[in-house]
Amino acid sequence: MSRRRLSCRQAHTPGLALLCLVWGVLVLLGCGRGEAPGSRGDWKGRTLRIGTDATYPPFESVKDGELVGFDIELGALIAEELGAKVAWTNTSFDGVFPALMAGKFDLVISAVTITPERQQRLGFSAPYYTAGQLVVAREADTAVTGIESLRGKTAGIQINTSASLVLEKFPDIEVRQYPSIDLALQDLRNGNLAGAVGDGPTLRYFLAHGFQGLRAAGGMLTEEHYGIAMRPDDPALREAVNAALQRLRDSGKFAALEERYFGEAAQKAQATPQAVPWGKVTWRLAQGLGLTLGLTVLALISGLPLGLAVALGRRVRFRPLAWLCAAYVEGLRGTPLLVQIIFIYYALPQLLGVDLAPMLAAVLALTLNSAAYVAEIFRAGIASVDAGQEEAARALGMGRAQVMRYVILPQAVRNVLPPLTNEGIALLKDSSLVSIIGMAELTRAGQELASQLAAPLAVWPLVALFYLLATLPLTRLASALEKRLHRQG
Amino acid sequence: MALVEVRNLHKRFGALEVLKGVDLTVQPGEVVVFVGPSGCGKSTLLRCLCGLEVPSEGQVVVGGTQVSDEPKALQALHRRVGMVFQRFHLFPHLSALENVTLAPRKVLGLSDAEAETLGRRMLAMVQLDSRADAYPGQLSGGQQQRVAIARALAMKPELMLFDEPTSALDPELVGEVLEVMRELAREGMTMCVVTHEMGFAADVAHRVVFMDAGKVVEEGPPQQVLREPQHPRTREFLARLLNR
Repeated sequence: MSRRRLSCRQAHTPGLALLCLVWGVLVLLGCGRGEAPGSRGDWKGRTLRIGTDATYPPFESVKDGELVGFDIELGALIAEELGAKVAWTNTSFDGVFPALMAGKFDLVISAVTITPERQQRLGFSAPYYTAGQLVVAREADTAVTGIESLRGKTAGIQINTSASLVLEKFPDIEVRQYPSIDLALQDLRNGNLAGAVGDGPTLRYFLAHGFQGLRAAGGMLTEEHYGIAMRPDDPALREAVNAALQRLRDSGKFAALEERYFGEAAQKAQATPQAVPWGKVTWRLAQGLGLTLGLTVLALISGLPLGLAVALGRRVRFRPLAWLCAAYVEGLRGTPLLVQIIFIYYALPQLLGVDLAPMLAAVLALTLNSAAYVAEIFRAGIASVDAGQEEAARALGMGRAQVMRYVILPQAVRNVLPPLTNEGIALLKDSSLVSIIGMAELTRAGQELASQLAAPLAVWPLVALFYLLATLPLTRLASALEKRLHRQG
Repeated sequence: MALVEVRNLHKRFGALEVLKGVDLTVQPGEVVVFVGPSGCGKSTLLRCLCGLEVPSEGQVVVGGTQVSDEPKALQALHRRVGMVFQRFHLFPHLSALENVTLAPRKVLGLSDAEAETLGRRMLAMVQLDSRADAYPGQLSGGQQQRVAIARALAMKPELMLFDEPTSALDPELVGEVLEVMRELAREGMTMCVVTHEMGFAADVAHRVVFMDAGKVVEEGPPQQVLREPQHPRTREFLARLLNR
């Protein structure tokens, strides 16, 4: 896709800038070097690992829990040509290139536009699809006929996409950026934009599957080529992929695939917007919620004792340990969770030489992060216990550990239940960040559904409701516990 | 042999010198009452006797153990000296009985059954056996202080220290606490008491120590110190106290 370009210079959000930074560190560390299984060229009987961001129909999306789309079928055909098995990883577009560089998979087939910037960092196959930028406007707004007619008006694009390359040439068009293109289309429909600019095939898909009242204004503005991305130091794989593509073209299999997705029959079939399948949507979101809850519970179960240990560690007489614990808290509180997740999943395996499964990396990152906050909560809770309590306990001959365990902590725990509940709720919601390493938790499931169904307004309120359903019992549990403890007077 | 021996005790907190050379001896079975204006150092002296404060200079020897900052020695001292605080400092998350039995179980290693028997006996001694299951928040101030005394006694201390035990109480609750202390004195417990209750001092104390500005100004039998004080500052203090 001509979405997020990779150059740091053009990163438009702090998050993406950080991402580039982490990626830069990875490249400096030499990640992914030496781990290029494709370099032998012969893939027979082996597994070709492919990454994609399945929120981009008709190229890749998730339908009924399965990856579907043009790119998905193309990947299968290429693997078949190579005599290889195929293993897909569905991850967010932010994470797909770092994962490629870190050797988590061999190819990225995700509607990746070949741009000069990307070519500096990535290897590309021969182009396999020609796309271009398209202007979309409201049907009623006949004044918009193409890019020229947007001058002096406001246009929406997806952040960091090659649409911005087009709009750079029109400084008198005000550009508003959105995290995903379906949100720009929604805002256009709401009347806040004169037009939206994005990848033609995907915009056409959205127009056909939802977003009534919008139309394509004019033809393709540019010619762009999608390529299959790989690590640049793997010429053998590149040759193998190009040869496979050529064989697919020669045999007519490629043309048949194109016909099925972009031929006339496909265009007609697309033209009928479908009703939102509420049952399936709810089921998918429930699955996502299950993962979200699992991650949160696991991270809390391990984060609470770790946080308590760190809080106690800060009080020990052995100063270096106390400093270490303080540094831990400052380090993890002072850096974004997103960066920690990326670091643990992509960089840590390279530094330590172990490969972490995404689930393990996600739980580890959430645990380490929440433990820092939990440690501070416990520290405040311990400090809130009257100093006389410790003196009275010491005066009875109790040792430091006994004083802490039997006198201070029971009272501290009571005092910190409300902030701990807050931390649990925050963790539940923050867990959505692990979608960057391909965990299909609730937010990611919502993203996939919103793009697959071209129905963000139907999906996102449901996602919010699911989060609410998950947090309410947590709140109730905490207040019940609080009541029980306070009954003791 | 004296139970408590204090020689040339100095205690400084930063630049502030609270105790400026105190000498004191307490014999087993003796009840000593410390009086003096607030800030004179009597509470700090008590805290040095039980090891909650470590001397800046000089020596504190209790039952042959010198107070130092060595944790094990301090802990051993704590076991032998009971401390009752002005503000009780009961453990609010534990019932009265659990307050009394916690240290015997965890420090002395008593079984739960042994500790409970002991705890109920101690609570009976302060006439609170009927409130064993009440939490501190459900008890009056006087009751709380009696539980605190029972809690200290449960460790079978050789010396009991009372730091203004009735100062935080409503006047009508003072009597019940003093009655428990009188009973304790009758049984021969060695006690050091910081208090403004001159009636208690006159009736119960074997010796009254008047302190001012970090030093012992005057000491002697209560009749002598309270009725015929020798030092002008003692006279001044007692006059103010009586005219309140």
